[in-house]
Amino acid sequence: MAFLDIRTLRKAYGSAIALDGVDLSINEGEFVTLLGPSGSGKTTLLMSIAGFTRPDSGTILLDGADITGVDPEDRNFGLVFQGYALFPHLSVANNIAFPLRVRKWDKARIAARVDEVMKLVGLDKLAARKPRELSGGQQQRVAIGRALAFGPKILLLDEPLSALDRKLRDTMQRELKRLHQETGVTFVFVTHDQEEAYAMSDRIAVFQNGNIVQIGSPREIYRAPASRFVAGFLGGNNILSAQTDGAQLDLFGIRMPMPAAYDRTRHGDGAITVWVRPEDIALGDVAPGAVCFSVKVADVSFVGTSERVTVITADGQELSVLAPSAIARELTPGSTATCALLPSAIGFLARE
Amino acid sequence: MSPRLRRIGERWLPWTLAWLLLAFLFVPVLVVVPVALTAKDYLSLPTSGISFQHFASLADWHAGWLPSILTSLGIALASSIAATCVAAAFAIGAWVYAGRWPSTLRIILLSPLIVPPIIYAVGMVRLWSKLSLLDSWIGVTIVHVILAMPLAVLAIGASLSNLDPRLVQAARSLGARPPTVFGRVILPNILPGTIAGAILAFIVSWDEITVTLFITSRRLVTLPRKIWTSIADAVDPALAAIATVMLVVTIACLLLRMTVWERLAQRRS
Repeated sequence: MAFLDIRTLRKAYGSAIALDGVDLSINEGEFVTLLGPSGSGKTTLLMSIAGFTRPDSGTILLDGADITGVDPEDRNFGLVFQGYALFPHLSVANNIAFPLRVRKWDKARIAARVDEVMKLVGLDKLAARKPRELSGGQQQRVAIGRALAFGPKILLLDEPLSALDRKLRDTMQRELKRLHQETGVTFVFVTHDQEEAYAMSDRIAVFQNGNIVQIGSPREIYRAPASRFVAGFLGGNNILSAQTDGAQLDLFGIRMPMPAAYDRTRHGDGAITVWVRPEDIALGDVAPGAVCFSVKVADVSFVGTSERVTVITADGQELSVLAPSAIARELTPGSTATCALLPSAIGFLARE
Repeated sequence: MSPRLRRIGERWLPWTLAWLLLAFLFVPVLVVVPVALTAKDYLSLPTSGISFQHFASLADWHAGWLPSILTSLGIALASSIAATCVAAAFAIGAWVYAGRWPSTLRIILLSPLIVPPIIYAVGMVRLWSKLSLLDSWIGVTIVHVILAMPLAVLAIGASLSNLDPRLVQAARSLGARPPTVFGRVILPNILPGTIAGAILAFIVSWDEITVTLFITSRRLVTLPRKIWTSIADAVDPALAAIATVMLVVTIACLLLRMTVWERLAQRRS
């Protein structure tokens, strides 16, 4: 049996269904990310686990015990908010000591634990500061330290990094991963940012309309999206229409042998939907076994490590390609170019 | 315009206007001080000698000033505490359960501010005579609580509006039960607003005359009522004396607040 077991959880706000019979099992010590667009139910699920949202039906089991009706203050779960929700009248040390005082620990034990937690989250020099005297990243550390101080069974994080700038977000991602490994606490993390989810999670649960549409490791989800929604939601994927008679694939008007990933009963035939990652399409150079096709360049935009080139294929489909700057620099909108694609990089979506 | 004229316009004009305005606000009040020192037994300037006899009469129990001061103090304290408690309970509840109901209730609670006191008084006379609460401590205190509550709600609501409502969730997730959430999280953060609300409520009750005139007669005489009747019946200079005392007490309170507050603020930082 899993550590945290969520069974057919349902929650509706009037006619809006936030959770539509969600099932999810989380193992002890796992880092699970609930990923989805806003309004997909991920925060409702997190708040149900925390105890602040009462589900209309379904059960939440912790170590086999039903905790669906337990008050949040009795659940012993840490909770980190997007806006941190630090106590403005208390210093950093007293914010972290709050859950310990509530639990009536003795003074010496509180002092020792506060010291330990502040070192853990890297705040040992700021004990006497008030939250308003701290930067966003420091406030975030206090919030995480406070939620970990009492040794919670699970740490719940509700989009904690979305208010931070990009550089700080990267640092805090590594910090959270380190804290997860050092403390061994089970982390349940909510985000709408797929890169955040990829960087930290053991498993990702993708939400759509109050349901988990796919759950798996970051690599599984990236490599084998289960539906058109997952394929499109995760990172600028190209979703394309193609034709097949079952033996050969016709993509952009080019016939190629059918890739091995194709399964006629699952993916269907006739007009089908396929996906191709932008980084799997090469501009200019041709690898052995690749299919070549000519395109018209529509736009070139610099994205840092490479250039994102938008091209139009012969049959009028828009295609996003990630190319090294050295190659992309020579392209101008309106010019023609040659793209190459390995048939094995084509993914198929199940008929819906 | 010459530079000199411009300097006068830019620096001295606003400065002079500001002081003129302050003088306009404060100087008329000061007139009561010489009047209180008159040796005559009607309201007049002390042209024929200075006397403290009117201050002495304030301390005389039978003159009625002292009993009415104590009555007003008692009612103002009681209604200030009651109004602050009810207002805090409402404001915190509305803050936690934000939505349509709290905002509707808020308008109803603020209605005593909007309805003219005289109309309110007419209604209260009818109601209190039915409940035989006319001319009673409890009747006056309830009315003062109702009149003072809007200001207390506004003051406490203002300090809550700066507070993140998720603090309650944060505290609960850390294991705090409702009494702890109130005592250790909400109250410390809204204390200044709550004290301001209590002071405002006290002042409302201490000053209240319109409704009090209607619902009291002989038994209960608050200080504003005593001042009112003494002005209507006789022009007793004790009136000026009580005004002077109140003026001095108010200024003393202000000075105390300024100095003590500064010192506390310095110690805290």
